[in-house]
Amino acid sequence: MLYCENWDEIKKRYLEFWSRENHDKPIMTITAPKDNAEQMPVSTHANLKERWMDTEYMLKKANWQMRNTRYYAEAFPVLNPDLGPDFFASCYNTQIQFGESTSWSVPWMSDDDVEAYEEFVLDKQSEYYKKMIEMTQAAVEDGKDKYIVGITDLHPGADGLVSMRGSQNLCYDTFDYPEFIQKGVWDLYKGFREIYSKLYDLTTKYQQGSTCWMNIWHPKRWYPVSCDFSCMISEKMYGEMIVEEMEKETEYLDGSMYHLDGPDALKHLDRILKMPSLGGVQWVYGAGNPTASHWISEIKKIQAAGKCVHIQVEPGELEILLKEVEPEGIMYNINAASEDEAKELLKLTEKYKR
Amino acid sequence: MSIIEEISELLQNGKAKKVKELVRQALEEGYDPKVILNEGLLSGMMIVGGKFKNNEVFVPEVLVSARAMNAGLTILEPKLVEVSNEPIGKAVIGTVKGDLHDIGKNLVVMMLKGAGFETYDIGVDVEADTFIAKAEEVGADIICMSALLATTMAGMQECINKLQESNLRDKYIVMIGGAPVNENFAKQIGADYYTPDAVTAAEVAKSAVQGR
Repeated sequence: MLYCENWDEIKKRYLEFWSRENHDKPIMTITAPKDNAEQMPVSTHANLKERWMDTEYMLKKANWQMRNTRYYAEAFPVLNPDLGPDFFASCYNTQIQFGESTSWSVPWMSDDDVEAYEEFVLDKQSEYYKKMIEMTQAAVEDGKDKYIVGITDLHPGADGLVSMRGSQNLCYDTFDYPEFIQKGVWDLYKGFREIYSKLYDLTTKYQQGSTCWMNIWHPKRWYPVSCDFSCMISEKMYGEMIVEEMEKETEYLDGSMYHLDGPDALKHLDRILKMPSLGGVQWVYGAGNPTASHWISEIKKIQAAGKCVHIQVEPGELEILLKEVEPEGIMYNINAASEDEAKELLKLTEKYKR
Repeated sequence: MSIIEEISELLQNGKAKKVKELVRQALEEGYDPKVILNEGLLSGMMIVGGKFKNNEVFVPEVLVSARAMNAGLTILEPKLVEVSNEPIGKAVIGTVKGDLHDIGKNLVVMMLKGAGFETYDIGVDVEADTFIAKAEEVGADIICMSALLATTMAGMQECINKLQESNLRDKYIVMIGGAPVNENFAKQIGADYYTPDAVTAAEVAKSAVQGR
């Protein structure tokens, strides 16, 4: 691959990761901006939507980013076509409002819509669905022998319902219309399978296996499962309305990581670790909270349950983790500030190699 | 169980229609509107808030209780005006520019109302100038800013800077909250208080205005 010299070696390491057989050291995705990096291509778009939906600009920016990034250890170059976290809901009649670095859904379902609800039907004629197909196809052609193409960010389940209904209304629905949530997540599951399957077929035209925004590679079909809505609800409600559909997602996939986002979601960890088909947990401690080295007991708990762990690590705390945590099934993602810092982190990892 | 206790209990269970009915009935039976408010609605909401803080109930339970409180208030408010029930303070609250998250902010609004504040919810994606203009317009005691994204929390700093530039900083208590912010950030930008949850926000707001 043009932007990655040792891809075959990296792939072997990911096979070890998924089977928790990386006995020597953790899997590490360290990236650093190259010294003397070029300037980012300037956007001349009339508005944010135009910029987000510009396939040529996406390719130009991704190639610029990969040309100017150094990939260390198990990091590899990926282009993830992206219309933001509400793309999935946009395939169900939801409009997207684009911001500078993220996008938002415009919830449209009123109480009357919920009362009249029978079934969600995937709209393959949606401008966003068609655009995503176009972007993925373009990335696949552009990325051949250059980089890996990821499957876009998909949020089915309760998060998909939040996009359509709004989070506050969905909270009310847990009391007013619980059957809507219980049926809705299963309707969206069908759409998840359909969209995932389509994107997997497209991305594997020239490459083996899959990846996504979490930048983990798997030889077959892998994807994160997530429910940010769960941070607001009790364990009981999570068990009654949410978890069964999520388990089904893990069964459908060949590999899965649970995206556990923020301390308020931690209450569900015990239940999550009981999902038999789940491959691992990505623990996101969140901005403003104590960083990775403060969560060692949680990391070890996930590991002890026979699951992989993915966590963002600040460069200054890598040594603590290397000392304290066994490497099997562990993946640290680190953004180094420079090539020199990245090389120092690699030396440190070698020092603790088993 | 007295009708006032019943109102409190129904509110805790999120029964909006029943709360509304019983508030109407209590008024007909001649109960003082302030008693209905303080010992029925606000007391019920404070119990829910305490349970929320102790992780005994979660966001949906708080929201349905707050909805029940608001249902009761629609009946009670005209009567409270007649007996000139003064709020303990006025708070202007919103989510900062570039951020459309609203549930945390809405919870704080509900808890502030439950604590006896007059609240002015100016919504999401709010410019720094708008916080200040609204606070000036209504004669607020407190400006509360919320952010859920690390990329938008700088909007809090901008508002405080603008307050300083306009020589208005000492006029308002500035409180911040939201997932990416913490005590250190509050100190760094010169906010008066950071609170980690909606219940604490209401408690801190109450003690801050009473301590002025």
